[in-house]
Amino acid sequence: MPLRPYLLLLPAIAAFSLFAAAFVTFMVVSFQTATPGTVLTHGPATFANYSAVIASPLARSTALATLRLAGLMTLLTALLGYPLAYVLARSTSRLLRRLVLFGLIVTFLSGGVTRAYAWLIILGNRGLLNQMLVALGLPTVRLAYNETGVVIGVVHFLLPFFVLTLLAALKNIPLSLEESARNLGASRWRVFWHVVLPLSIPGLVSAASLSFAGALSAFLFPELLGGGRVHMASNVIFETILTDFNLPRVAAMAALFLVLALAALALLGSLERRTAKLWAGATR
Amino acid sequence: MRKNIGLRIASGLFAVLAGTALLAGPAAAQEKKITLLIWSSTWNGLIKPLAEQFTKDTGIAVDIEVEASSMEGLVKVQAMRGKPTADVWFTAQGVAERAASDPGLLAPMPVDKLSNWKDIIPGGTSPTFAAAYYYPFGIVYRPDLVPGGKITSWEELWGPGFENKLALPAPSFFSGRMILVSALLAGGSIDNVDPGIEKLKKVKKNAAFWFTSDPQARKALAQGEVSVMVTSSSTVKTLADQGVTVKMVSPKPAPIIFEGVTILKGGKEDLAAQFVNYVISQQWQKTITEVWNMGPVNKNVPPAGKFADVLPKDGDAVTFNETTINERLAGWTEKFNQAIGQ
Repeated sequence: MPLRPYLLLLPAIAAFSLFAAAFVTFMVVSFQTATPGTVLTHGPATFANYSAVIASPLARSTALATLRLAGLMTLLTALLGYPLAYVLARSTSRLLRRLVLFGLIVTFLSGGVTRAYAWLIILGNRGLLNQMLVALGLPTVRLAYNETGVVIGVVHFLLPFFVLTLLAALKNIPLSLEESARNLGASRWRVFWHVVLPLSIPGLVSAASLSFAGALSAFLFPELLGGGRVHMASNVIFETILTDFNLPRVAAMAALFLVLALAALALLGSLERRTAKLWAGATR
Repeated sequence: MRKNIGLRIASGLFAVLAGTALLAGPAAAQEKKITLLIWSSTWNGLIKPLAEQFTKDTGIAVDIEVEASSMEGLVKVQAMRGKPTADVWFTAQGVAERAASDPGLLAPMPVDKLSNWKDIIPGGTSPTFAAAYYYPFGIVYRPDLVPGGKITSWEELWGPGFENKLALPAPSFFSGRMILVSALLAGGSIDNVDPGIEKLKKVKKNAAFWFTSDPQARKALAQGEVSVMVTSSSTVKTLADQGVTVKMVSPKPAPIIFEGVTILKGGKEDLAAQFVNYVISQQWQKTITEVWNMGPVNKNVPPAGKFADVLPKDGDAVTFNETTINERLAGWTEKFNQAIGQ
């Protein structure tokens, strides 16, 4: 039996083991008890940290808020991203395709902190939008330091991931199907609604899953644009570390949020498989 | 022949490397360097030039690692327990006290080696902590943007002229002082902060945001995004340097906060102690109060005129038990987040 293929796998196995070991350590800590005033933990194993997190009204409301906001962010990303992906896949104008792609790549490459501050300049109390409203004699609106600001910032962050994932799926739909439908007298809208959209749904669900995962783990934008009012899972975990210093409890909180996120993603994965069978004729 | 050339090149490289190692070896062994774990604004605005002088005087080089806040610093210190990459840690007194409860983190202050230790004002020391300065926790505001151009009390911040204009510290910043001030204003205390949290609910409309990073809040104040920031007196100086005119008032109750230095257990305690002695020296304390607008902890140095202006009036200052804060902050934060969250 040749050993070489297995030897070649060693670096991957080593890297995977490292990640797995970190995760296992983290899970073990979540069942331990903090030694007051130290970073140390001790046994015996207990579910007390999990009970405390489940009993915490803040943890419960954070879990619900995180799922709600991630769902909303994914929906808005899909609504904005689908037309952009469609333009990239089907537009005959090279200039338009390049412009859209350029916009997405710039977004993709610019740093998160830069983007968050750019949004503050646009959405702030004295930001460009409010200055425009004042110039028009209208009252100002609160767009930053709340959920609105966080949703805008995260959707902007997710858009390139969504569009580039969906683009691959749209490009895989044979153009001949659309041309056949057009030749048989279907309007552009009907072709889109009855041919393109159904065939793109598995790709759409894939892109949405990726966006949902990104939204669930959002930290920077809620931190900088949430004004201390928007509590998503990552931010609450971070704040709890800074104020409680109880690593086992924080590990339990992170583990519970992770389980919740995995359950939501498993649901989306199952949806993806079902839609692939229903609309795209996949046999898996 | 080719093999020979390769061998010669390899031998030559080895000789060069060995020679370099021999030359560098004694120098490296003699290298005297300490690393500070410090806030970037404190390093850039205050300590950097003083550290250069310290290096000239002692031959001890000073490097830094940055902490975003005292709490984050504690997480770092705990994470590098036993093998710290820093030797001197700048932090708030309460956080230092929390760290001291872990016997593996902080070295005791070598009082007999610190010639300036005896000059530190009361309240500024503990067995593992030396204050570098103190400041009142108060209201920094833009006189051009607040009604009447002046603020005289905490209660005004709850008034109608400040809607969406306040930058207030989140509980993890200044170790919950905003909650405590609010509690005292509402008839509560450190043992009962619920009235304070209820009172903070009433300021929600006026709070533009609750900050966890003072550069972000300072920027908002400089840009007129907010007209008030509740913070420390060093903000006045930082903004003045940027050409922004702000004033500060420390109304009753005005918490007084000490921040300072601790020595991390890691083998360079002697070098670190020399640095600590410089921090509390008259020369450095004079710079700290005049340049950084903070209170000097060396009793032989009077507060600079500008700093004296922002100090609370007699009887207005308050201090809190840091142990109690450390024990209860997580619970307060949870209640606060429930009350303030959207």
